[in-house]
Amino acid sequence: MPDQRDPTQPEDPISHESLIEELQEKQAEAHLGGGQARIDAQHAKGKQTARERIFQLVDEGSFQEIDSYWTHRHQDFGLDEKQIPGDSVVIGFGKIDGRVVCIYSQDFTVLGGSFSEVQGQKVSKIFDLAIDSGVPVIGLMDSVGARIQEGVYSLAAFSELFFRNTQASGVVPQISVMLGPCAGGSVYSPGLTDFVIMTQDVSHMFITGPKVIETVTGEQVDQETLGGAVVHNTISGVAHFLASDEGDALQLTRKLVGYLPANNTEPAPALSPEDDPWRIESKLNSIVPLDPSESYDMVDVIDLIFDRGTFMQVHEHFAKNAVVGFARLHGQSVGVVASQPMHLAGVLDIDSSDKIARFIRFCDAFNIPLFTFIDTPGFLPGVNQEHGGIIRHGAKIVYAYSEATVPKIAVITRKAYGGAYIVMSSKYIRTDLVLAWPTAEVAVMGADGAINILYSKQLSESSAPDEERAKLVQEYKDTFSSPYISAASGHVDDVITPAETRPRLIAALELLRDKRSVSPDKKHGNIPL
Amino acid sequence: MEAFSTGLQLSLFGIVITFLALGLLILVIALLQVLFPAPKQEEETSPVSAEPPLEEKGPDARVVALTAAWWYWQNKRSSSLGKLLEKGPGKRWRKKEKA
Repeated sequence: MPDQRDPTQPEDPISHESLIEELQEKQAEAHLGGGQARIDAQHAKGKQTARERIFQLVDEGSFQEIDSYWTHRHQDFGLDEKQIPGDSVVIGFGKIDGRVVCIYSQDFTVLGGSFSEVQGQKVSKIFDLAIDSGVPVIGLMDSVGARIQEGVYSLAAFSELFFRNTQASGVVPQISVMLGPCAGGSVYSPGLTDFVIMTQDVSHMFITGPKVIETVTGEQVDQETLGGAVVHNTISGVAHFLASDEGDALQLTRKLVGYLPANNTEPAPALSPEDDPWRIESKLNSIVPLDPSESYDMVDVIDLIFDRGTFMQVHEHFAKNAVVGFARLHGQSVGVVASQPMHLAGVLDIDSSDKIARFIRFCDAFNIPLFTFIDTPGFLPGVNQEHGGIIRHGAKIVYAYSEATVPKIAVITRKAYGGAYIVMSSKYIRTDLVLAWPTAEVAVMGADGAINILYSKQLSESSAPDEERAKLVQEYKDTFSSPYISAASGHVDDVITPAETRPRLIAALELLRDKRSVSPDKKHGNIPL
Repeated sequence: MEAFSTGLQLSLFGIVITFLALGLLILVIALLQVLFPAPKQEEETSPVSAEPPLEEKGPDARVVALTAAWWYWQNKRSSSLGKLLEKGPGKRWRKKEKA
């Protein structure tokens, strides 16, 4: 800021009051960001300013801003006339439900929230503070991308951020809230964070925009179809949550933070339990249809077992044949992984494998116990799946479960066939307790498929193949379609009454509260990415 | 005196005849059992005979339900289910983290 004082006039004596007045003027100037006109334009688009968003996110009166006077040092392309205090990002720390979080919020009113050298330095500073203090980092993203006028300085700033995203991974939870555009290299920062919340119709994410794509490949596509919130929540899986508007996105963020520990050395957070630990749900006794071709909603099962109304799905709209999310069990934050028989019969495929493996690794990194509910007929057959690398993707689930040292408890509700049985938290990949409902079936494959393989010659030569097949299928079912076969050989720890699942799981979690599991020393493993 | 002796003889004769007849009947029954052995329990097809004897029947459903309910309330009243979770992680967890 140029000195406004007139040199011909005698200087006012410096007083404490004048110093405070000067500070207040500078604060007011910094809080205006790109100016009132740009704030009005932001409001006209139905969007809030960077600070308004922060104030909506955190507990009232808890936000402490830092670096609000930092300006850039560049002179080219007219930047010397656009030196705005605080530059294009607001950083600081505040509280969500009384727990401290670090926040950075891109200010679209300042040069479109473009990622500058100063923005990079400020965001890096808040990341360093968060990592050292062990608190989550939340990014509120609304930016046109790199500040072109700053050239390589802007790119270097991106690199600093990506490096810190990586360093913070597995140390403190990272959440990206997409409240506007995010294009080019800048997408890698949210891509590196643990959770991405996208706002419908407002946020977009892509490496190359529609114009570049049309120039290079000739494909015509609009922003929404290319990288809108719905696309990334349903098709690509880049986003984990779909918010209807800014307010919804910020509320989702608050809710999500409630399930997460502040860092990797803290246990999963627990609230005072509000639900009956002894709640018996008789509905569970008949929720699984006896006809194996009939489906049921696994989300209903989860809702009935865990504390009422606490299940929060992650990746709800992506790979719906699997369900993952956070819930509370007697107030304790836990991770839930499940097959979903309502979609593709709960089969495992490429997308659901990625969804499950990533969630398991997050829970393990942050000490969140894992509960797995299994009703899967196996891996999805097909040329597309094989050529798409289902072997590599499916292996991620085995890797993630085998690597995880948090408490792992599995409940087989119905089908647990073949490779899918092995990868879905089976006893052999160090699952602590495997329980089964009386409807459970543990086998290499379904009865029809097995009989086709085992007795193809006998059936082709039979004078009454249908009768013969029915007899053999029944024989196979009598042999394998019962949890007692597995329980009799220790592959399943107990067969339980479905209605009693909740108290059984609470008791199991009590047992495993202080679980200690040691893995071989290594620099890091090599998960099949 | 003679009348008394005759009566005694007739009585003894009657007893002997009765026991001989009884012995003969037993022999006939035994012979018939050898010739026509009784069918085994599981081979009976009559719906009445297929039902297990009264003393082998399972407990009444109402008794099962009442027992389960009693067990449930008793456990709920006296149990400490969930108390460890309410206390939070123990010392062993913290040792693990330090390691």
